[in-house]
Amino acid sequence: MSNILGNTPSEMLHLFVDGELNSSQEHILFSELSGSEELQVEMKDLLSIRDSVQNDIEAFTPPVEATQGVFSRLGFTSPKNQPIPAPIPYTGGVFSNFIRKAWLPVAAALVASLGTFLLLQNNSEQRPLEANINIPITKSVDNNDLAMNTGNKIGNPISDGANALSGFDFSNKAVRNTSNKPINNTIRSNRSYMAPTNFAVQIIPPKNKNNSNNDILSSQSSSLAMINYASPINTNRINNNLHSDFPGYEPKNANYLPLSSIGGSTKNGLSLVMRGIHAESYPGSNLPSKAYPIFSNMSLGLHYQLSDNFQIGAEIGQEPFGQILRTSTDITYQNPMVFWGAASIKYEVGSHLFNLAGAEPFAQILLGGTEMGPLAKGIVGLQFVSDDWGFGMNFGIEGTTMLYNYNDKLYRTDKLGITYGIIYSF
Amino acid sequence: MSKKIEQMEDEELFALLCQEKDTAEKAFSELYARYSPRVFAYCRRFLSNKEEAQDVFQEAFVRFYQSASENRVMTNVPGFLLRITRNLCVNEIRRNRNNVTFEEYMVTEDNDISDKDELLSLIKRALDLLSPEYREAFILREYEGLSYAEIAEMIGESLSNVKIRIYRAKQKIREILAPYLADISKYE
Repeated sequence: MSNILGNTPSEMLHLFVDGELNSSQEHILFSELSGSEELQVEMKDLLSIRDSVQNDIEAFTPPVEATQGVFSRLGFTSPKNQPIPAPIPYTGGVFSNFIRKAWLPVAAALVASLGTFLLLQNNSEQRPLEANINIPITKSVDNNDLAMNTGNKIGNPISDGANALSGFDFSNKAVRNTSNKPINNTIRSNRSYMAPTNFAVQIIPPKNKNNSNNDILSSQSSSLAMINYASPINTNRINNNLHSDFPGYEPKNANYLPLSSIGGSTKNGLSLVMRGIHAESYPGSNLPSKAYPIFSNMSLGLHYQLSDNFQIGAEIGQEPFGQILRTSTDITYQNPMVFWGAASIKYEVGSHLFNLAGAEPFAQILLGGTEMGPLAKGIVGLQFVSDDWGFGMNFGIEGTTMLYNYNDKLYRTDKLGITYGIIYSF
Repeated sequence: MSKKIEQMEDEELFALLCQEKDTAEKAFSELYARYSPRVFAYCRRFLSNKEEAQDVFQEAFVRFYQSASENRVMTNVPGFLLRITRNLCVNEIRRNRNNVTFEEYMVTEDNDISDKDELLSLIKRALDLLSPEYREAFILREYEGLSYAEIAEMIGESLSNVKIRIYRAKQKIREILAPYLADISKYE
């Protein structure tokens, strides 16, 4: 290399990228480029480096303290629209101040209410559920008959849409219940999942039955039978149509009741959820975010099963929100890590999709706030919860909007990404 | 002032720095807003150490303001400002040279940074490994966007030396980043 000034193709390439190559040498370079893969790779590298440097926002953003230092040393007032270090304290109105002060006590009250409600519910569930009406049950029951009833054969379907837990075919000896009346409103209201792999039916003797043995499992009485329906049964949620054709037994003057919530899922109707969040912020920012290492880009939530399809609850979380704040003199980029809290309402489709390994679609809306302003989230996804263990997971797409005020101007940051987490139902 | 501050040329604003305090403050604020990002980028990337960079950054603007006088005719405000900054940075490097040798591996670990751009993070580390001369040439070219001639004038070197420094600086950075750049190419 006798003369490094543009002699080699690589040197010419560097000069060309920097706009320093004279036009007479450009065609030489282009012909070299077209024939040299190595030169093409080098050009790609140089452009990648340049592109990264131009996105080095952190280098081009003087820290606030440095700016304040300059102006104070000169005896000047810091610029009027001085950017405030992240996170920007919200200076908004009454609503935002209320959210900031009230969300914690409100959340605590909600949790306490749920806890109290659960305690009361637990007490009531200890008592056997009794049918409102006398549903006749056969005097003698053959367990084999029951064991053979593994599918939806004869009888009205319990839940719409086939493959559901159906009426049992006890045609051999049992007499079908033809009363065609609903079983028990109490059962329906206390049940969220009927997911029995062991669906037990307890037949309780009538109160006035002359039976010295109050044990409902007593085999001495012909009207008593603990039927352990061990056959695998479809785990579809049993809806309110579980009634009438719960056929089979007609013991006289006997009450029977199905046990609810067998299998451990949502016995108390509560679910604890921990989610990770991986989302892109719009506007985006490459600046560092100070974060508590243990809890960032995550959320924790507690939900209560309000009905078969709806859950309500509350969640808290922490994640970054990119911000670009414009004043008349400069632009500030920052990426603060922000705590948020929100109330949640969740809709679960209620039917498991077997083509997705039993996953259940859901949609969730959260409304709440951060220290900067109000926040709203929407999530759609799939969840799978093991009815036996209560553990499960979810996966979905999450969109977020946060509003905040800076210098009497309203800003918005949107986020879109994926969320994934674990669920524990108890 | 017939013109708005935002509409004034750099030289006009510089001339206002020696006026009464209110006027000087407004003129200084405008010049600060225009050039503080570039000055800070130079300090930040040349000195690596964040605290040192902030100190030099502040000192540069203070000296810039103090240099304004009615007798000084300014034709290139950003160049003048950058020259002040460069001199301060070089002095800082020389002062630190007594404590740390250039052969030592100087890596700035900033645990607060979580760069989305991994390539940028590697470039920053690569810059730390360059000699100050090569590093400065790269920064003036890529961060400040100066032409080779402007760089030569600023650092008091010949054009050919500037070309050599910039070429070698980029080649060195490419060499350090080679495995990462190869991975990027593989997946493109």
